[in-house]
Amino acid sequence: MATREAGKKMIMLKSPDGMEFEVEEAVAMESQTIRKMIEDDCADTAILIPNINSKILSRVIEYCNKHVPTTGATGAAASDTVAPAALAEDLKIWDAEFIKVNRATRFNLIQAASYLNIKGLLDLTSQTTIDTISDNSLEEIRSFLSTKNDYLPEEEQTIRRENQWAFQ
Amino acid sequence: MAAPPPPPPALPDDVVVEEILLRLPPDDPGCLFRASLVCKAWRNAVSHPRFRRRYIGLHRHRAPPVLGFLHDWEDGGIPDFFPTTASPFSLAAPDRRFWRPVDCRHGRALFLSDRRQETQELLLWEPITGARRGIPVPAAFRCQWPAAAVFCTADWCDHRDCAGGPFGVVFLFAGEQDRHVVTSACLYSSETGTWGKLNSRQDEFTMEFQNHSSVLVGRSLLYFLSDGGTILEYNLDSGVLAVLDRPPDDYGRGRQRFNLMLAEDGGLGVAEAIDFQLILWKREASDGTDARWVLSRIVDMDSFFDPVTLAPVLGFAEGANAIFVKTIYSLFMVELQSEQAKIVCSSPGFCNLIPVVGFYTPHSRLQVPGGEHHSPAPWLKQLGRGGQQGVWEEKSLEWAQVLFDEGCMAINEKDLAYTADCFRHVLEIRVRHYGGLAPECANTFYHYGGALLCKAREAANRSGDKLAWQRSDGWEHDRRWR
Repeated sequence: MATREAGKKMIMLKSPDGMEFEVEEAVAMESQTIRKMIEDDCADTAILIPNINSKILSRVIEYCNKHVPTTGATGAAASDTVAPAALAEDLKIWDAEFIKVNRATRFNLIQAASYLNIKGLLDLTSQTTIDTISDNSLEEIRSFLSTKNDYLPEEEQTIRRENQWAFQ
Repeated sequence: MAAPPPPPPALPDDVVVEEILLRLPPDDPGCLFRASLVCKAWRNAVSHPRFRRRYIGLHRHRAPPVLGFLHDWEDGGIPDFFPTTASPFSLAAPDRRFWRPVDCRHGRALFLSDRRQETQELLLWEPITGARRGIPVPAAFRCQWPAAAVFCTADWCDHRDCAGGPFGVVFLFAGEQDRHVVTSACLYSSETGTWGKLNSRQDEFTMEFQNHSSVLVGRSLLYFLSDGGTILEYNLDSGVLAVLDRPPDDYGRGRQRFNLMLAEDGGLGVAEAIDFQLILWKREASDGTDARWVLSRIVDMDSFFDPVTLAPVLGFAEGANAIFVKTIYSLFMVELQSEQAKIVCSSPGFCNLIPVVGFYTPHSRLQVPGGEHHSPAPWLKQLGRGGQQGVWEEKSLEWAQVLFDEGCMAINEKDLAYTADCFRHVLEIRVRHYGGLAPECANTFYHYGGALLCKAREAANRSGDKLAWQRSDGWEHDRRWR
């Protein structure tokens, strides 16, 4: 059963490396996967989040805290006096700082956002990655992603030939 | 406990790769093709049917992009499918020397065979899958400039990915009946493979439909515009064919300066190009019988480019809410929602433009290098082997010889783009007929290769010109992921 603190419903999230994170239910429900578990009454004591280590999970929670609507977990209630446009701008700046991580962390965040189904985080992490690499050459992309070109030369030639326009 | 071993180098797994690639812009399909060359995992990711489903789903909040347009302009240097995307893009559209494009909607384009042929025929082509299918014209058809429209007939379809499903075709043409001029329409169903009853109405003049394509309003009203400016409504449910009045002539309209479009409320609209302005009208249906034209919006075009008189509105991209408009210098695409205009071609030509709208992903054709890219799907192939197709093959071979001679003459005139184009078409026809390894094709391969080489040399000597011809904003994109 979810615990309570200061009148707010709390949820315990556990990472596979044994760390536990107590978060507000509203924050946890930024993840559609967790939301469904809670709504289906599958979230008894604590929810184990497989494949997401504590370091990544804490970052994910940090993101959800910031993006949860109405009151942020920073404690400051979203002020009525702040215009929505200003809030959106503030979030944008925060996002830009948040995503300044190394590529391994970024891939882990994508994976976590995909598993937990957090659309905003998935968009942020994936879009930033594609924006980073889309102006690079094939070789640069392979090197950035530590990916090897596993095409045989003739296979690569065939694809280039058949879609010549794309490689002009 | 000993410290855990350092993590292996960050290698994105399939989930991560897919999520990243899903964010590539839909209005630039070239990116997906270039991405497929990074490694096999990426190729598998972008060509998987699930990727296509998710790609369309992820971008569902935006209008599908205008990929380019089909046209019947007689300039051999301009491809049959002209892309409007940010970086190069190409589709193997039916050869416009044989097939005049008449309509494109819901992932299907419709062509009518060359009117110089004895027996005319319709051709359905799916730009996304490359599949082709022949459709006979109604038996009563005799005239040279009919109109035709294609549309999806699947229930509950949002038309974002319905190629391959059931479709209908409406064919509209003028003729003579008991010494009266009549305009007739009938409906074809892909599910029965037959044309329905012919519905006709008497008219004062013979209508021809060369300059405009149709607009579909809702699920049952198709609108056509004749070359003389008559608006016709065809009701798909009742089969009734009716003539509508035109918008009022308040802005000094010249002849043939307007085109049909969808208004913002989804009803019938008209776009008029007068001087430096686009005048947008909408049909306001008060109670069905009393519908009238109401001015919807005026877009000042001289804020986009130097004031030059606009020529007719050439096409409307259904689904993308964009129109094509021409000045004496260039062809522009105007997105009506944002009122953003961009130049798509600096050639002064073009007549009726048929925009191709949709999400294009590499899909399965990339999985089989050397596969079925230019060929019809197998079931369509079988369908094409009828007697009618046989006649076409013979005519095509004769035409190939004419084109071959023309290509040889073009070499002497140093028109290398046209030469290469001629030989490409000859090669397509001969390979289709004889097979790629047949000795009959050897000479054509040799000539085509030579023409391409000369063309490439010529292009290298005047680098930049060609890009300027293709589009104004594609240079940065062109250099990506070579």
